[in-house]
Amino acid sequence: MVTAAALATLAAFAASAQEMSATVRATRPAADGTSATRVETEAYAGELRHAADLAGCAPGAMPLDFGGALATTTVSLRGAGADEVRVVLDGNVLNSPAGGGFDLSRIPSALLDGVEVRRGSDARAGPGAMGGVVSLVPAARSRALLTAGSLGTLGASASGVFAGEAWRLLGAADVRRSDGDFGYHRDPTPEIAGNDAAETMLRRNNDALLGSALARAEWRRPGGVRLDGLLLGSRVERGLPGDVFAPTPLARQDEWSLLGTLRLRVPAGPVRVEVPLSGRAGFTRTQAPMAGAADSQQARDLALRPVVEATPGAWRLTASGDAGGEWFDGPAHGRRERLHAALGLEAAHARRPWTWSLALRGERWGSASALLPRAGGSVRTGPVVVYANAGAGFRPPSFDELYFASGPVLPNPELRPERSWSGDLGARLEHGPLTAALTAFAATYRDVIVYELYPGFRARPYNVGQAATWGAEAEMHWTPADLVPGLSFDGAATALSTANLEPGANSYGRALPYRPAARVVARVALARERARTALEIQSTTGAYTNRANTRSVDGWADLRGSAGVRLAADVWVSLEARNALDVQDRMTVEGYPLPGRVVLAHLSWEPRAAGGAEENP
Amino acid sequence: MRWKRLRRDPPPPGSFGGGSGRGPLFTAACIAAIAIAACAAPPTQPEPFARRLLVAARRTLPAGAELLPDDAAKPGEAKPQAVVVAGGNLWIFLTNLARLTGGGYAPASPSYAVVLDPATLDTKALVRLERDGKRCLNAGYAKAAGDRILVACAADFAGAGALAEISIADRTVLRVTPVEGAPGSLLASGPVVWMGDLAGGKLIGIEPETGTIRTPVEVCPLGAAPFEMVGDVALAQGRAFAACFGRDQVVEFDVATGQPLGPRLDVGDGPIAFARATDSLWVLDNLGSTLSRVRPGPPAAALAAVLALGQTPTGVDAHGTLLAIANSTDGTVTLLDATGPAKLDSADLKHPGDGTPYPWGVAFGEDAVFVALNGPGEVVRVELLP
Repeated sequence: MVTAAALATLAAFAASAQEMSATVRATRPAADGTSATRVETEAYAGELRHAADLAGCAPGAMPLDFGGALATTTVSLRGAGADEVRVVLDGNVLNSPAGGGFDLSRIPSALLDGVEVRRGSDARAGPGAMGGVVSLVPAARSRALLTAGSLGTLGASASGVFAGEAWRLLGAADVRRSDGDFGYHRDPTPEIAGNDAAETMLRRNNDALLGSALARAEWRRPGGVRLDGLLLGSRVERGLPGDVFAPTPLARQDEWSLLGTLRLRVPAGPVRVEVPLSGRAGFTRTQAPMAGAADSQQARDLALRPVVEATPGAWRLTASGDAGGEWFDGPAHGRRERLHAALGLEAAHARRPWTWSLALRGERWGSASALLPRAGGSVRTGPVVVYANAGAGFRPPSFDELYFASGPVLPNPELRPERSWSGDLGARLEHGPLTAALTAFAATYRDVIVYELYPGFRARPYNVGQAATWGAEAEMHWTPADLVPGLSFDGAATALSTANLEPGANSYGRALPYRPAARVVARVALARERARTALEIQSTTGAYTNRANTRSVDGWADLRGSAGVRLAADVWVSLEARNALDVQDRMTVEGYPLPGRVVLAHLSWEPRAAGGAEENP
Repeated sequence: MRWKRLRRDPPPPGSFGGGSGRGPLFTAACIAAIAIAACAAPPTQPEPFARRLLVAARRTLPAGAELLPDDAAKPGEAKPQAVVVAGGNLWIFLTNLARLTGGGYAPASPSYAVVLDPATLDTKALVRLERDGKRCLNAGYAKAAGDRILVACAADFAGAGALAEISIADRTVLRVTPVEGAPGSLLASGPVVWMGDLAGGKLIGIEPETGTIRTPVEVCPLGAAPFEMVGDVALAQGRAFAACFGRDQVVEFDVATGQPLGPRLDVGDGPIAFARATDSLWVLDNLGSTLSRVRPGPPAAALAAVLALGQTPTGVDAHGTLLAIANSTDGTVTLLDATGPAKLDSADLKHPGDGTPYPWGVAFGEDAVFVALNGPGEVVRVELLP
């Protein structure tokens, strides 16, 4: 099957001469100096990707994969934990008030046009953006995809855009499932290397059924008044297989969530008023792995986030507010609620070659409060843009950390917010078909919430963590159309250093665990009128797995590839392979085994831009 | 940014570390003399033939419902923890805790000792640890001392601890003495039994014969870590040492008064158990998964993290120059030669296809190592081979 597809692809390339455009990424030092990368969904047509796969192609981002075709996947940025990364969809916050990183595997690429990764503390995004923000850009084009392949994976997705003179409607839906079982190799006695043969283990209870639907509607009125709304529903049913040390063959997760936004935009000369009302409700039922009992929890939140923006001349003056609450109910937490309010002011100025921005935001989140400044800017000289950004961040303790009590895990209602300072300095080169950027960054964290021992060998969170992180990010996008039409090269690399500043002979000055020192993603793609192919390698170095830096896991490399041919009109057939070298002893830093080679076949409908693409509002 | 993991996994119910500390042969010899001088003498050297391990047999231990729970509808989880070889028998101690709604655990009934034949792992007796209305709850540490086994009972870690004494010959509970605190590790020296507090950095002293309870002595004051406990207490070269889990230090203390002496020695992360072999006190670093070495001196000196172990080691025992270590998260037991130190072999204790069974306490027998598996509630006999 693979050979036939490869031959068909080669034949199609030979018969095709017309280039197709496929922008993988746009390196974007925005006017405010933020270091950001937007990864376009379109570049991965013919591949099964979710939001974490896309975000993981940006420098500074480290996906944390629980192992499997549709496994839970979160993203950390610049060494900050996944729960210190804010995930938003069209202004809606997706992070759960319960805490933990948002599972980006729940948002398939079918629902998105792209993912924008903004790196560094950014108070303007609200609390929890200490490492940065992953912003999901909703889909605005028509397409469809059918998938089948390894691990019993099946998937179907479709999106459609319908528009009239004063209105536009987008609908997208996706359903995916996977058996998820796979074999992997493991040394049963790893403390003595080579004393016995690796055994083959079976990853069980790793099945998943994911469904999601997105609807967006927009209604334009004379005078620029616009009313738009978004509704996202998702359903997850999956096994929770546990890590390699403690498999949990009976643990299950059953979850649904619904979120929506209704937004009114009213322009008045140089002033724009935007009033979005966002709400969310979610229900999660977890079959407790140890007790065998079910734990059901519900979360709801509602927020009003008005924005008033004035643009007199080269200035942009913004005032933003946030008022709302979140409510949580579950047997391990009790019934909890927390109100929040925030006020932010920003002044930005853009006059070539300079841009700069100053912002200040005050946050009140339950009993925690913070005043968070931020400054950024850029200057252009010829093809080079130099940018810089510095700001403070904070994360209020989650409901899990404050109230969750189950088995050996205890809560701590006295927790304070985590706080951070971060900054970066970078330069971007735009030279014809080549775009490249190099950014240096550094951050400090204090009052970080860490689970420590409590009498009875239980664990309880405390604000004892302190750390510093620093490193560099590089990325490039090169489309040498004059050499080979349709050819593109993309690369992203991250070098990360960390230092634990928590006092102690076995902690101070040592590297933070679970933080790989380097990650590289490189991709070469060739897209023609009737065929396309891509080869990608993702490589992550090993990492320590304890604070004393006496244990570690090895790094790994994942060679991926895809090839597709146009069957007829806008219909494509594609073949995709992940972990093409079939390495079977890979494990994430968190101890989750990763599958061997995965092969997926796709049948897709991809209408050309003129037929379906629309601008995102 | 959760960069420190207390453990890779939530600990099993009632998991409060330990193992049986030093080897039973050495312990028995020391206690029989009831003298510091005697304990300072090196133990009889066994034949240094063992270089390999072979999992020979395993036996499922009684479940919580079989342990006469106070509320039959809420039996505890009979998790085996401490292991002692004494009087020709294998003794396994079951903590017997029940999971509480809203987090935490509480004793479901008194703890139990299971007495087994070390050769066949057949059960000979089941000893309920109570006497005269006084109960030993949550027994996690035990140590042979002359004609009896001393058992530290941590209860619910809120102060209702106790010391239980069991007759090795009669398999009966001789006495249960309530004490303040959550006693864990044990050191018998002269008339005093010192117990490390699992809920603080104190030494709890008791004179069993008179029932005198000493005023607790703080040997491990709170440092940068938000919590402190005494991981283990032991004698080496006639000097007494305590492991300070939160401070990552070992401190010498006066065995007569419990007062700390001399400088604090830095060791690996989370010292939790001692074993004495060769001329050194070997320290199991639970969080760092390493072995540290303390030379008693004088002056005492420490080498931190001299050897990497399996993940989350919890129990250690010594037999001559051999050390056996239970690695909880990896689910293995490792045999070391302390003269190197060098790792000789490691045995996988998992059931095929399963995760770790959380091996905990470990003790040498004549020709085997016995390991308590906290997860499935089993004991394993691992034979020593040349």
